[in-house]
Amino acid sequence: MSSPSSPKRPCGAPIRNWTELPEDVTAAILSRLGAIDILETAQKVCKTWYKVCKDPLMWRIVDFRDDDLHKVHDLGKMCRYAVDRSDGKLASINLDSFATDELLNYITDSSSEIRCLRLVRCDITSEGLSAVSSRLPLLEELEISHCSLSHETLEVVGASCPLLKSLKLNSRWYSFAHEECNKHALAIAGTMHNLRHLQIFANKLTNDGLRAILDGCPPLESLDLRQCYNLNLEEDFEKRLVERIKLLRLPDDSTDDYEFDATVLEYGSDNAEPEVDFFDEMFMVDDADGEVFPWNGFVEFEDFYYFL
Amino acid sequence: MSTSTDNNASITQESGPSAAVQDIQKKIVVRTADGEVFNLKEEVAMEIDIIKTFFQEDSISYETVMPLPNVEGWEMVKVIEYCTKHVELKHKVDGYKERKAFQALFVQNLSTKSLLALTNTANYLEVKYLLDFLCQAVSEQIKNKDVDYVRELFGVENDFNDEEYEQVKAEAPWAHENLNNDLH
Repeated sequence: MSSPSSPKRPCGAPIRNWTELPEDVTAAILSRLGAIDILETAQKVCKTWYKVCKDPLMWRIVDFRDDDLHKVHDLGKMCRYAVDRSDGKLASINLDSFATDELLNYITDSSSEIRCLRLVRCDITSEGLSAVSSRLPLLEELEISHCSLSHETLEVVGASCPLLKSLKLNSRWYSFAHEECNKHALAIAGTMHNLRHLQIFANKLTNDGLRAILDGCPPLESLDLRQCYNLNLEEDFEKRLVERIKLLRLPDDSTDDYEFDATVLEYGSDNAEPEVDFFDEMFMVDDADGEVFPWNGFVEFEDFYYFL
Repeated sequence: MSTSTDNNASITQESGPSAAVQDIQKKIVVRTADGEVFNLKEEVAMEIDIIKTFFQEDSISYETVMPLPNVEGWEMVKVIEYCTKHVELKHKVDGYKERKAFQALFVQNLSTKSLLALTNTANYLEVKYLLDFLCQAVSEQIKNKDVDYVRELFGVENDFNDEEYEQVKAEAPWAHENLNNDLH
């Protein structure tokens, strides 16, 4: 039944215990856990699982998305630990609000094979990401959601990461602050010529910016333009889009399957993060061109009082 | 297990997929450990790599009943169920919701023991997408649970001695952090 070129076939004899599963299957199960669950629970269950959890291959993909905030830890330290365990083989990492420039520096310093980087609500600066972009030559997928990063950083990333196939650049839409802005769109169009997938939820681009992207990214086949309300897609343009793009989401399409909160933010409204909302009026961030946009960063309660 | 029409279709040894024109209901027959015999539609059988290899690599006639001594009847039923659905959804453009609903039902009444057996079987039979799904389902049962709960649910014994366990805990550099630090 087996051919000379086939990998070792599982013997399949019935087993009575989870520890008797072939190691690669156990690894397949445990590696689907977030890093916190692996380090806090899975590796402590028994020696077999501990051994599997120590294997660098388990740490090729590291997921620190913070779904559950009941666990209180120094996530920065945990993350460094997880990266160390990958022994240079880290390929994909998801970071949440605990991530800083320093941590990003640490991660990219020890891993040269990163293909997939996800930054959600991170405390990372434009300079921080620009500084490490040269260490991400194999990057294929990048997500920057709810982090304020300048268009120059996008240009640096685009120039440093020629293999980039997928970009997610997600924001919130503010009903009181949505001046047209094509800077990010043009940065993408100008530097990311291999993009196949682009998600720019609640971006402020106009039709011009969109045209630039379509011209600058020939292989584009998937485009999510939800809540890009500055777009004004007349029939012809929309028709062209539909013909060209296999997976298209238009500005008014449903956000049911969108992973983040898609509520449009009104000034003074009662949203999940009211402090941030109030701050946006007072705490506008300038980029180098004097472009002003709301700061979406995480806010400490103590800081809130300081600025009152 | 072959009928006279099957005989006609498989006179030549090349009774592979290209002969499907003559008989669209081509079946492959397997026998599980408990002696149960299953007739699989060819397109479903080909989803199961170990079966696909058995018949295709050595050009074995579909009249042969393939033995699966490591697989129980009930496991085969579940595997066929999953693969059949998978094949059906392959041709659907928007099968996302349907797939999710099916998957939820599929594992709904499976005990942890059964899940273990089925995972092992999916690995043995080499049905990658079923194995991936089952691994995901198992990992969901571990998420956000503590060590004792997991040990009990999976029937796994703690084979660390006290010293070893302390060592494992001590490996965690964050373990001594102030747990009342509520900033995050």
